[in-house]
Amino acid sequence: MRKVFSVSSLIVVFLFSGIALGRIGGGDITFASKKAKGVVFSHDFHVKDLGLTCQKCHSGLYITKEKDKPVTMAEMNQGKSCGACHNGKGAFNSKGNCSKCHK
Amino acid sequence: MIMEGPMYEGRDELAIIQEDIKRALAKPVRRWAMLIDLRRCVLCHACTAGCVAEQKSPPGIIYRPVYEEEMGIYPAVKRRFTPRPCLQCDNPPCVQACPNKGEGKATWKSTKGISAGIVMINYMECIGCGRCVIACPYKARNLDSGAFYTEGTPNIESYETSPTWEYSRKWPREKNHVPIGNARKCHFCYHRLKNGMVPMCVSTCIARANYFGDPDDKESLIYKVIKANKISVLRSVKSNGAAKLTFAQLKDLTSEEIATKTGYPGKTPVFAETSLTKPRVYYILP
Repeated sequence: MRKVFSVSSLIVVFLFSGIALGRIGGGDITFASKKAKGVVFSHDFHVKDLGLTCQKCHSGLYITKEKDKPVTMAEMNQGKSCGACHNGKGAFNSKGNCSKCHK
Repeated sequence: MIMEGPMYEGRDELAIIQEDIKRALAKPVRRWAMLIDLRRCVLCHACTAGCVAEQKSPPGIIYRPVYEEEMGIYPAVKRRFTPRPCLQCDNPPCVQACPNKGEGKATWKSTKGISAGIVMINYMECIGCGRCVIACPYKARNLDSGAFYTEGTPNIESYETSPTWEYSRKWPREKNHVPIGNARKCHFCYHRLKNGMVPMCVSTCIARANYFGDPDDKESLIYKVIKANKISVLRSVKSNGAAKLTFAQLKDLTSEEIATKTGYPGKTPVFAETSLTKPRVYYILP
């Protein structure tokens, strides 16, 4: 019993240290899509590498994945969700660059 | 005459509190609470300094300020000093305001485990929207702006860039790494409690003004002192020019601006016998 406990606590330690060291808040968010390949949004890339602040998207654009409705590409082109930045001005355009996200 | 000092039945109260915590941890269930005896507080700010050092709080974040008030008209003038940690309310308005609330999510009221009684924040889930900051009637929360005290000097000192260990996790202080951007507040030194240690503010208080433990444990010092005294709780904390912000206004404000507008970390405490928020920090008024 004690061995089981120590092993499981080791796993817990690894799990948590892995999250704390390798990722920043939010982690990777996966968006499933019916017609195209799913999209993975990386908090690490957007926040740590690009230097965007939390307030850039939260809570104006998004609250949580569970609370926000799915968006279509047409809505995105009108500036919703990813399209708020990915419009060719703030970041690469979501229109015509499908494979950059759907991979 | 020999001054007895803050002793309880001939023993240092801090040693008794330490034993109370160890005993509480050995039990399956316990809920933490704090009692602050304002008759003993001398406004030395040792708790504030100890807390800032322990949590490595950046500029703009103070978990435990001490309010200073002067009341009455000369010559009948009184001064009152009120330390204010997070009150860990049983009915927390901050959690209600959170769009990502729930156990293990951004913030929740813990009812089980070692954290029972504490209002917890998960920095990995907090989106930094600031709604909890304006919802707290005690001005106990603010957003971490990522600033350093030694910014603009030749060196940003290593004691500022070293990680904090809040919630028993390592949080490196790097650019845009959580908790930068997140809401931060006192958590009764959860990481110390977990290891059987007294919260930093209780430990550094030179006047032994704090009691800590499980008030449901009838052997504990906090239970005995609560029973022997008239207890008050905080109803709210007022501040100069405290504006009521709306959620819509939050989006365009930085954490410094929010702090200025709401009056964080507060100025004047308002005491009452009970409060709708049901705080777990109790006070003995002078």
